[in-house]
Formats: sequence, structure tokens, C-alpha cells
Amino acid sequence: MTTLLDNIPLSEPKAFRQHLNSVPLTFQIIKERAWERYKNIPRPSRKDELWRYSNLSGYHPESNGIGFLENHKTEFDFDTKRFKCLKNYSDEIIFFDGANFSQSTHSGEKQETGVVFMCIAEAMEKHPDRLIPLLKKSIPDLGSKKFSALHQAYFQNGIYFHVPPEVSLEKPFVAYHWFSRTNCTQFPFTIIDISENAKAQFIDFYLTADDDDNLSEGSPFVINKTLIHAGAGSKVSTYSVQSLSPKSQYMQLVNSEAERDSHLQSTSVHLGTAKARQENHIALKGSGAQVHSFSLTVATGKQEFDQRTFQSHQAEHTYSNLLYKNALFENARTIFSGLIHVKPQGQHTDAYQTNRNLLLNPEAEAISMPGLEIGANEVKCSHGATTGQIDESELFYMLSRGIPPAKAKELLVFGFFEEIISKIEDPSLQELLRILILEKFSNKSYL
Amino acid sequence: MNDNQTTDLEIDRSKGDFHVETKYEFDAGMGLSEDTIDYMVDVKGEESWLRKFRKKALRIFEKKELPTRWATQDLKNINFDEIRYYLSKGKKTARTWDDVPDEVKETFERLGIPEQERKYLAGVEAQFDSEAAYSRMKDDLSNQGVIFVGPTEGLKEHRDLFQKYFGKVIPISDNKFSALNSAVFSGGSFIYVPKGVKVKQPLQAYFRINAENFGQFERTLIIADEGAELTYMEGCTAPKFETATLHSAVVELVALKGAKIQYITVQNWSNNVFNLVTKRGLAEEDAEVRWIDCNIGSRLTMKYPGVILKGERARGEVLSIALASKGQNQDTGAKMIHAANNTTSNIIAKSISVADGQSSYRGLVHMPKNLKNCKNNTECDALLINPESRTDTYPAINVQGENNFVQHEASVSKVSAEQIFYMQQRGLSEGEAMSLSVNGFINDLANEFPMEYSVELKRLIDLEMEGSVG
Repeated sequence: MTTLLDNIPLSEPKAFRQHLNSVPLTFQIIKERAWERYKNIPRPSRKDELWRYSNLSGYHPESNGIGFLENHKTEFDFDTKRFKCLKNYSDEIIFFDGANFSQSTHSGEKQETGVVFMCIAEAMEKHPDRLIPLLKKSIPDLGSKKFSALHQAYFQNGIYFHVPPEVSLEKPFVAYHWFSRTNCTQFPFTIIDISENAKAQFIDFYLTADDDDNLSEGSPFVINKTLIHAGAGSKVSTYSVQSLSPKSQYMQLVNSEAERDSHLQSTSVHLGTAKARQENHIALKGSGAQVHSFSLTVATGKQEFDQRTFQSHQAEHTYSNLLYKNALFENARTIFSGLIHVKPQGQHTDAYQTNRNLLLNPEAEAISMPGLEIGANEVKCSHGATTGQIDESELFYMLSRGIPPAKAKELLVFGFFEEIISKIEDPSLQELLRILILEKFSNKSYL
Repeated sequence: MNDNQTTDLEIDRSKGDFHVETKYEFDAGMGLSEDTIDYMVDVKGEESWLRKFRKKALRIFEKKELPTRWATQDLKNINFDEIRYYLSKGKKTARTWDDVPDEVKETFERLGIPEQERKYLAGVEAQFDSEAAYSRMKDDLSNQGVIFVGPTEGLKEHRDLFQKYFGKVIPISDNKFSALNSAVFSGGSFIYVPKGVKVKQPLQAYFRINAENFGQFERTLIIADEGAELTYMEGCTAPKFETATLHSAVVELVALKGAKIQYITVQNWSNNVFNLVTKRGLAEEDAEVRWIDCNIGSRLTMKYPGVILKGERARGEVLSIALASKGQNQDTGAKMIHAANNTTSNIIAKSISVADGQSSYRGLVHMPKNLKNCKNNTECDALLINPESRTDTYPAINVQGENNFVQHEASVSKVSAEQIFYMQQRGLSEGEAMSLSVNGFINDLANEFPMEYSVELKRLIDLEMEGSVG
């Protein structure tokens, strides 16, 4: 295990060299190229359309060091119980500050069928032939080209999940990413590769071990890159839950590809951080591909959530439906910028994009930029955006039934989210999300 | 119209120059510099503050970049050095009927425009026929205290009145083209409607015979005093043939307490024109500003009429129709800036893209914090006729405050095959069926235009739809 690079900023060549020496030789060229790209790409500015309204000032992951590979914890000395309520899952891998903490198998499914569910560090040793082509592919970006290159240069761990053709996995595979280190930037990487006619579910969590009060020098900056490939005829569901500490920062760069007749459903839930940016690029590459993409965000305090989405319809008879719901309290701010892009070959596309913002405080700010770029005429496309308050008549009804105002508002906010929560297959995950959201409400008296 | 045809449309300028060389003394020449402005100001006999204003605008224009960051790269094809920024009025009439392309003549024919008006619309000669009507109207208006003049006259003779709002709704530095207009504007209308006066007939730029009126860089400022009402109309459904390839107008509307202004535009420049227009209205307490906008012509139009809702209960509305035919880019939209409680705004935009035509909607709705009970409704619908047609929608909605509500909806569709089939089996041709469907699509908006305009609009759509299917 290498020494800690905590104190050298990532932008220093010295930090990169030191990191480079810690990865297998076969990956070093790719990482060196990424490092060159990172240095050459200019920092995004507010003037870039893809960063419009965004508050860029805080995004300096490169000024941190990398906190990695110190297995300083052998057991959790913090509360993980509430996350243990997930029932009926298959395998789970737990990371602590980027290092594998534990791995457990709850079913024998994967050995028999050739399913691979392992951490990236292990996959880099065992399956470089599979990983390298994926890393060499250029990935479309929604503004975070520079940060994506930084991720490629520094990533070391994460999840590699591969399901061979025709294999149907009934139970979800789960990953927990716990973070505790302060002033460091972490680069978890998730690769989900589901082959033809296979079926799989994947859930991951991004969580902070300690409260901010215990973290003396700031909080972690987490850049997560997720590549999802849904092979022809496959059925894939992914869930990502982020509940990092209130001072941390998070970037989630998701790239999904849906091949012919595949069904992909992805849901992400955002509760924590001071500031988070989601980039969600969805490519519908084969005819008959169907993608549902949902996002649920509870924004409080001075939190800022910056959401950029892109639905790229590249083939005929494709369907996509994107729904982003944000509830805003206090001085929170959300930015939603989405685009449906239909190429001329995307005839018979059905595409929908919806952004709903619920403002629960006059100081909260919701920005919505739903966009369409349509280059084919046989299409049904629509987008909708609404921003509003809790319906007075609904509230009045509840009050008249004797429900206290705070509780009534809470119920109405829950109702607002239920549209997404109810679409989650696993009831225990539904329950967990309700608990997490409730916790966020009960921390302070927002309502 | 593809690029080749577009170049065909351009007129041999040297031919025109040959005719006029000795006859027209005021021509500031090609290109734009401080000298051009000095020349203009001297010829027009403008005051020195205006000279300063224009020069300041020129500096801002030169400093600002083209908005190609978000807008089309086609803007780079504008050669600012090859444009005449000031011509005396007579010059435009120097063209001959022979210069007018056959396509334009044919369209006149089919729209049934009278022989005499065709020449006027083609820019061949000024329309003297309506002079009587114009002066009659002018008398009526001046009896009510309405001022209806050009900007030069307005700033000279009614300085206190117009200077107060001139350049205030749209500051020089709003964008590159508003700066350009501020530097070289000439022509346009300055209108003041006194307190409580409700002008019954729409004021039509059409009646203002002065040849500067449809100028390249027209400047319009309309002030409706408390409780006043007026409707202003510009443009015409018939194609307006132009040799000048850049048009950049600035239109400012000021509706004081309880006033109502309705501004109707029908834009049908020929397909070689860059039409880059800044339009904005200011609505005080209980006032209403409505933009009714129809864009059919030009190579590229960029126009986002806006309303600043400054007073309580102010209301803003933009109704917009865009038709992007072959080779055209209609980049239109609307801006609603809410700045007071209980303000409401409504945007309805419909676009039709034919052949490789491209239409875009860009919108901005802004409700800052501390505002209460504001509402906005935005609907934008796009119809795509051919496989290569294209439409984009880019709204930006920014909401804070208490009990504000915003809804935005957009849809893209094509004329359904079932509808066409149904009409065909009732005996209509495919083209007729298509026109009928398209007219149905814009019907509710077309009805907002004065009757003769909406009739012409429908005929024009028939014309555009012919041969667009199959």
C-alpha cells in the first residue's frame, strides 16, 4: 500500500506521479493521457452554456489531496445499522475512503453464472482486457470534461459489475461508499456492463461516516463516474443514493447506453453535500430501447444542486422518460438543465422530460432549463417544467382534519416524492429512502 | 431557399449606385467608424448629446462579441464592413421593378396584392396612394394630443418627453445588436399617447410614408401615459424585398400606470436578410404589454420580445408564430422579467418548420425573491413537416419567492398521417390537407392578428405548404 498523498494537491505533477506508481502498468498509459487532457482542458466558466447559473467557485477538487489506501478501520465505529435494512440483496461491497472494507456474498448466484461483481482495484488486476477498452472510449460530457479527465487520471477503486448474456439476476447487488477523510478528493468509479438479454439490479450509496462536527478540516469532495451499458434485450435497474455530510461536495457523472430493445431504469436520490452536480447522459443507441430516468432531491440550508441531463435518441422507435423532482427549503438552490436530442435517424421517438420544483421557502431558488433539439419529424416529444408552492387547498384540507401544519406539509412533500419512490421495485429500498428523507426533515424544523 | 438561391436574390449594388450617384447626396459609405457617426449626426442635425450617445454605443458594439456561444454560427457570415449604415431616404426608391426577383413578383400575384402596392412593397417606390389616408389619421391623432413622429424629430422637438425613456428599457449594452442600433439608428417611430387617450385604430407603420420607416436600423419608442391604450402594427404579410442584408431594430415600449400597449409585427423580409431585433416593454402598475409577433421571412431572425413587469398587477404577454421554410432559421422566443407582486405573464409560441427550416424557442422567465403571487404560463409547440426539419427549445426559468407559480410546457409533433388521410379521402389534395392542418395548428394565434392580416397569413401558409409534402 502506498503512502498517503493527502497533503499534495492533485493538480501537482508530483501527486500524479505518486499515484501513477500505485496502479498496474497496463493502466498507466491511459492515465497519463488523461492527465495530459486534464491539464489542457480549460476550466469551465459561468459563460459556458453547460454551466449557466451554476456557482463554479467551489469546484476545486484538484486543490485537495487524495485520501486513499489506508485500511485504518477494521470495523465500523459509526452507525451503519439504518443502512442494513435492505433485505434480500445478493452481494455487497463496502468501501471506506476508497479502500475495500468488506465484501460479502449472500447468494451463490454469481459463481455459477459467470457474473463478475468486484472492486475496480481487483478488476484492474484480473480483467484489464475488459476495462481498458471501456476506458479508451471517449465519453460524451455535459460540461465536466476537465473533471472527467481528472477522474480518469486518479481513479483507483469502485465497482465492476458484469453480467453475461441470458443471465437473470433477481436480487440487487449493492455497494456502499463511506467517506471520512477531510480535505481529500475521492474518485469512485462504477462500471455496470449488462450483456444481451440479461437482467440485473444495482444499488449504490455515498455516505459520510462522521458528522461534520467531527471533521476538523472541511469535508471530502467525491467525484463519481458511472458507466452503464444495457446490452440488447437486457433489463437493468440502478439506484444511487447520496447522503454525504453537509459540507462535502459531490459530482456524479453518469453515462448510460441502451442498446436495441433494452429497458433501463435509473433513479438517483440526493440528500446531502453542500454542493452537488449531476450529469446524466443517456444514449438510446438501438431501436426499441427504453429508458426511464428519475431523480429526487431534497435541498435545504444553502445547498446547491446542479442537474444537467441529456437524452440522446440515436435510433428509431426509442422511448425515454426523464423526471426530476426537487423540494427546496430555506436558501437552497437547484438548477435543472435538460435536453432531448433527436438525431435525424431517430424517427418514431417518444421522449419526455419533466422537472418539478416545490418551493417551500421564499428564499429558495429553482432554475429550470428544459430543452429540446429535434431533428426528425416523426416524433412525439414534450417537456414540462413547473415551479410552485404547496397547494393551499390541500394544506387546508389536512389542517381541517386536525393534522398539525408541520406534519401536513411533511405529508404533502412526501406525496410529491411518492411518484418516484413508488416506482422503485424493492420495498425495503423504498422504506429506507422514506426514512432518510424523514431524517433530513427532522434534523431541523424546516416546515 | 438554399444558399445558391440566396445569392441569386442579392441585387447588384453597383447597378443601383449607377442610377443614383449624382442624385443622392447623403450616403455615409460602406463600413462603420466614428466618421460615419459624425456624418450621420451632421446630416440629421442632431444634438451633441446624441453624438456622444452614438459614439459610446459604437465602442460597446465593437467590444461585444457575437453571441455565437449560444446562437447560430451563421452570424459570422455578416460582414459589418460591407454594410451601408446610413443612406438618405431617396436612395431606396432608385431600384427598378426589373430588379425584383420573379419569385417575389409571383408571390404578390398569388396573394392578390394590388398592382400599385406591389411596387411599394418591393421597395421600388414609395406608396403615394395612401398619403391622404395618412394625413387624415395624423390630424385625428394630433387633435387627441398623440405624438407620432420619427426618432430624429422626436428627440429634437419633444426632447424632455422621449429622452426620459430613450435607451432606458433597452440599454445600449444589452447586446451587440442593440449597441449597433444605438450607434446608427435612423427611422422608426416615436409615439406618445397622453393620459387616458385610447387610440381606437391601430397605428400602422404602413401609413408612415417617409421612406426611412422600414429602415435597416429603425428605432421605436412608444410611451402610453396613465390609462392610455394603443395598438401598433408594423410589417406586412407580403414579402418585403430588401437589398440590405442586415436589419437590426430596437423597440422600446413604456406602459405607465394602467396603460395598455399591443405591438403587432408581421415580419416577412426576403430570404437574404439577417433580422436581429431587440424588443422590450416596461409595464408599470396595472399596465399591460402584449407582443404579437409573426416571423415568416428572413434568412435568420433572432428576436425575443420581453416585458419587464415593474408595477404591481402588471401583465405581459407574448404570442408568437414562426414559420421556418427552406434555408431559414427562425430563432425567436420571449422574456418575462417579474419585478413586482401579483404580476402575471403568458407566452404562447408556435413554430412550423418546413424542409430544412430550423425554428428555435428561447425563453426566460425570472421571478426573484421577495415577490409574491406571480404567475407565468408558457406553452411552446412545434410542428415539423419534413424529415429534415428541425426545432429546438431552450427555456430558462428562474423562480424564487412566495406563492409564485410557473408552468412551462412544450411539445413537438408532426401532422398526423391519419388526419391527412382523412382529408384526402374527403377529396382534398395532400397539399391542401397539409395547409388545413397547419392552419389549424396556428389558428388560435392567427386570430389575434387583425382580420386582413390573419387572412393573408393563412394564404401565405397555403403557399408555403404547396409542394412541401411527398
